[in-house]
Amino acid sequence: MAVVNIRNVSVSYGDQQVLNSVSLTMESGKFIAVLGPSGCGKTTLLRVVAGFSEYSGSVEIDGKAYDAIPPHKRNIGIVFQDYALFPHRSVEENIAFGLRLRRISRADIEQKVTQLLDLLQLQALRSRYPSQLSGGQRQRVAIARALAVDPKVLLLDEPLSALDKKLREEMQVELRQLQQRVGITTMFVTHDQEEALALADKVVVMNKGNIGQVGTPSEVYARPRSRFVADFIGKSNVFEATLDKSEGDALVCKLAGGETVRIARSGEVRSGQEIHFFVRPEQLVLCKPESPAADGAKLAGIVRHVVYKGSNESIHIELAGSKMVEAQVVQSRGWNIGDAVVVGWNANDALILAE
Amino acid sequence: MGIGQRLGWPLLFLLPAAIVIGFFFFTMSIMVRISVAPNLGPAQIGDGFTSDNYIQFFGSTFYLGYLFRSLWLAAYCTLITAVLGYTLAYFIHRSGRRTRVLVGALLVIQFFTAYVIRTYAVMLVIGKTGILNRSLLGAGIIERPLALLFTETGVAIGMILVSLPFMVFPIVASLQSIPPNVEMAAASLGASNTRIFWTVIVPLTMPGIAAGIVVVYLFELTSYIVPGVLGGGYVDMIANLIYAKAMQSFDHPFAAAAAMVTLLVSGLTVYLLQKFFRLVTPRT
Repeated sequence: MAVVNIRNVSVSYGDQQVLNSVSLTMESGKFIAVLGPSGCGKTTLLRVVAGFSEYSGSVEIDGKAYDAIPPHKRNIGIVFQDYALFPHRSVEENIAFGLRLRRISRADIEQKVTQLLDLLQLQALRSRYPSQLSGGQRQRVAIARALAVDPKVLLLDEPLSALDKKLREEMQVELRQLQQRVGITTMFVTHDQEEALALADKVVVMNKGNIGQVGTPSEVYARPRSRFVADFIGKSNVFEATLDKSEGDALVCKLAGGETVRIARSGEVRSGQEIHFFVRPEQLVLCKPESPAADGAKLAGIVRHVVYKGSNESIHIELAGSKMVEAQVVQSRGWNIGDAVVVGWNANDALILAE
Repeated sequence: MGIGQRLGWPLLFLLPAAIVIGFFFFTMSIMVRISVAPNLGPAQIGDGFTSDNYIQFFGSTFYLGYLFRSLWLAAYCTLITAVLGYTLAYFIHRSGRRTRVLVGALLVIQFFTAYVIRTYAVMLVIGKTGILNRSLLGAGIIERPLALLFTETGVAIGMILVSLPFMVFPIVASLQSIPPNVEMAAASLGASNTRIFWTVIVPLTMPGIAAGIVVVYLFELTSYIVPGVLGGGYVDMIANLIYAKAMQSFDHPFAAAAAMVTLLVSGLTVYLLQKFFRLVTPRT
C-alpha cells in the first residue's frame, strides 16, 4: 500500500500543454478514478506516474521522489486498454514475466502464479495463448500479470472500454472487489462517468489538462463546482439567471425570459449578480398545467421528444425562448409529444455553479 | 460433386496462374531433360540419357568450388544483411513520421531502380577512386586506396547493399504488427530496454526475420550481375559458371545439370531454413 503525491505536474508536447500544473494525492489503498473526455490529459497523467512521459513537477510515492527513476524500476503495475499481453507467451508465462526478471526461485514463482490464477479464476486457461482468449479473459490475465510483481500502485488505462456492456458491468464489480481484497492504491482512467461513479472512492474530473474537481462520487455528482463537471458527470439542465434577493434558505432569481425561480442558497452572493445554476434531469418535476407545481419554479413548456428507456423515460421539453430541458421520470404519466407541461423543481435541487 | 461444379465459372480466374505455372514447369522439364542428355560438341544436344554431366560436376573440385563458394558467400552476406537490415528497420520503426517516410522512400527508390544500375552505383562507391576510398584517404584513415573492386569483399558489399530492401521491408512490417503497449507493459513489469528487445521485440519479429533471410539468401546465392560486374571475373559465383558454360562454351547439358544442382541445393536450403525458423519462432 502506498500514498502517491503528484505535485504541480506539467506536460507539454511541442507548444501543446497536455497537463497544466496538476496536483493530486492518492491515499493508500484507495481506488481513484480519473475521469474526463478524450484529450483531457488523463492518460498522460497515468503515464507520468508510470514514468513513460517526460514531465516537470514531482511524483512521490510514500514520500520518496520518483522523478529520476526509469519506468522499469518504479514497480508500478499497468493494465492497458488493449491489455498488451505478450502474444508469444502463454497465460502462465505472461503472469510470470515480471517475476522471472526478479531473483525469485522457480518454486516461489510457481506458487505466486498459481495464487493469481486462482484469484482471477484463470486456472483452466493457464497454458492458453492470448489469441485463444476472450476479451474478458485477456483482461483478467493483464490484471494478474500486473499484480504478480506486488506493485506499489496499480494503474488502469480504460481497461473496460473494449468489453461489451454486460461484461463491462460484471467486470466493474469484480475489479472493485479485487482491488479491495488486494488493498492496492489504484488509479483508474476512464471517460465513462457511470463507471467512475460506480467504482471509485474518489473521482478526479479532468478537462483540458486541468483538474476540474476532486471528490467522492456523490460529491462530484451532487455538488459539481463547474458547468463542465455538471455536464460531464451525469446530465444537467443549466440555466442562466440574475440574482434578485435571498429569502430564507432559498435565493430568488430571474431567468432571461423574466420568470421568477427559487434555487438553493450557497456562498456569498449579491443582488444583480449573473449566475448559472443547474438541475439534474431526475430532479425536474413535471405537472399538467392546472395542477399545483413544485416550490422552486413553474415554467411552461411543450413536450418535444420522449425516449423510452425501460426503467425510466426521458422527456425533452421546450421552454420559453426555445430553451430545451431534459427531465427523467420513473413512472410515465403518459406524456406525449406536443403536450403542454409545467416544469418545476424543489429549490434545494437547483444549485449554483461556481464557475 | 466435383470442385469445378461447385465453384463453376470463377475457376476461370485461376487460368492466368495456371498458364504461368504450366509454362514454368514446361521449361523446367526441358531443362531436366537436357541435363541428362549427352553433349555432342558445342550447342549439340544428343538424344540419349547419361549421367555424365552430373558426374562431371560432382567429380570436379573446380566446379564444386563454385557451388561451395556461392553457398558460403551468400551465407555470410545474408547474416550481415540481416544485422544491418534489422538495425535499419528498427531505426525506421522508431523514428518520427518524417524520417520514416524519407528513409522508406529512399529504400523504395533503391528497390525499384534497375538491378544493373544499382550494381554500377555500388561500383562507383567502392572503386579505386570511388567515394569510399576518396573519403577514407581524405580523412587520413588509409594511405593507399583499398582494393575492393574485383575482390570477394567488393562482391559481398555489393550483394549486401543490393539485397538490403528485401530484408528491411518484412522486418519493418513485423515490427509494426507488435501491439503498441506491449513494450510499455514489459517495462512496467521491470524489464530494461535491452531485456525488452531480446525477450519481446526479437521473438515477435521472428516471422519478418525469417522471411527476409530466406528471400535474401536465395537472392544472393543465385547472384549473377553483382559478381559479374563487381567481381570482374575474379569472384565468379555459380550463376556465372552456368552462364559461361551455356553461352560461351555452349555446353548446354552441363549447364543444365549445374542449374539443376543449384536448384535442388536452394530448395533444400529453404526447407532447412524454414524448419529452423519454425523452431525459433514462438507460437502466438
